[in-house]
Amino acid sequence: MLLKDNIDTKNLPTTAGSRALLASNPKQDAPLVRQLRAAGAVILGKTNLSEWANFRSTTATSGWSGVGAQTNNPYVLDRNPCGSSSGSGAAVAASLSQVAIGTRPTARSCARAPRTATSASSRRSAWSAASASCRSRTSRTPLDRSGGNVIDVAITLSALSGRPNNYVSSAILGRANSLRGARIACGRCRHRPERRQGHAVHCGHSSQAGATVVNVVPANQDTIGNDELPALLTEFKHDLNAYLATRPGVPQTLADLITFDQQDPVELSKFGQELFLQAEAAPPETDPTYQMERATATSLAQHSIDDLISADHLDAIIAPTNGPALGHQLRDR
Amino acid sequence: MAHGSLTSVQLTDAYLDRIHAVDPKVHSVLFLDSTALSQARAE
Repeated sequence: MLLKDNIDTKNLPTTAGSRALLASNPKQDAPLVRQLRAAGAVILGKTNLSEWANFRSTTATSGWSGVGAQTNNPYVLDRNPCGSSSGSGAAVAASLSQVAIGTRPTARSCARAPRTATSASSRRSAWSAASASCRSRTSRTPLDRSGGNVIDVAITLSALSGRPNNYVSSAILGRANSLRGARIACGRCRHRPERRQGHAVHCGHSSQAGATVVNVVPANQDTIGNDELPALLTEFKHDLNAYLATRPGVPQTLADLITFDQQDPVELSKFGQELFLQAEAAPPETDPTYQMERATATSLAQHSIDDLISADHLDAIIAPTNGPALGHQLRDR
Repeated sequence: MAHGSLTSVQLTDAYLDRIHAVDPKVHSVLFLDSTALSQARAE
C-alpha cells in the first residue's frame, strides 16, 4: 500500500509536501504504520498531497506540493485530483497500489474530496492514530477503487482498528438486500445542481439494497465553520511546533517554516502562505476566546450528527458527493 | 493469493512496474520504498 506523505515513516522521508522537511526522516513510524506492518502490509512508498494538507495558503491548488509539484487526475490528466489526499486518491484510481492511506484533518472533507474526484471509495473510521502534523484530530482513511475492492478497505480498517474481520464481514455481506431494515440519511448541503447527481446515485444504491432513505439537512454548518477556522489556526501552530520538536534537522517552529518558505525558490512559486501567517499570529490554547470557539465548534458538530441520528432513528448518514473534477488552476506568481 | 496462484512478491512487483509505467504522467508517488520487495518476501 501507499501512505500519504504526512504519515511518519522512519525509513522514508516524511515531508507533508514541504521541501523544509526533506532534510531528515522521522525517528519512528507513526502508530498506524506500525499496525499496518504488524498486520503484514507491504509499504510501497509515500504519496503527494496538497502541501501541509492544504493548510498553508487560502489560495492553494489541490494536489500541489513543493516536493512533488502537481498530482494529476489519472482519468483526465489536465484535471485536478482534489485533495488534500490527492496522491493517495490518484494512485488507487490508477491501480498503483491495492490500498492507499489518506488523512482527514477535521470535520471537513479532506479524504472524501479526492475519492469523489477519482472514484475511489473510502470509509471514515474512529481509531485514534496520532502522528504527523494534525495530532488526534486527524483520522486516517484508507482509499480504494470502488467496486469489489471495498473488501480491501475493510481488511485495512480491521488491521487498524485492532478488531480483526470486524469490517470484513460487513463488506462481504454488502450484497443485494444487505441493508434491509436500515435507515440511511442522505445529507443535503449547499450543492450546485450538477453536484447532486452522484449523491443521488449513492442514495439510490442504498435504497436498492433494502434501506429506507431519509433526506436530512445537518444543522449549524455555517456556525461550525466560522468557529472552526480560528480554533484550527491556534491548534495548528501548537501541534505543528510540538511535532517539529520530534524532527531534529528540520525547521523547529512554524516561524522557522515561514522563513524557510520565504527563502526557498519553489515553495511560494505558485501560491502564498496566508494560513501559516494567520496561525503564527493566532492566540495560544490558553486563550478564552479560542477555548470558546473550539468548544462551540466541537459541540455543534457532534450535535449536528447525533441529533439527526436519534431524531430519525438512523443507522448511517451518507455525505454529499463532490462534483466533476476541476481543471488545474496553477499560476506562476 | 489464498489459492496460491499469486504471491506477495509477484503482486508487489506488479504494482512497482505499474508505478514506473504510469506515475510519470500522474505524479502521485513522492518516494518509493526500496525495501518493498524484501517486505513482501518476509510475508
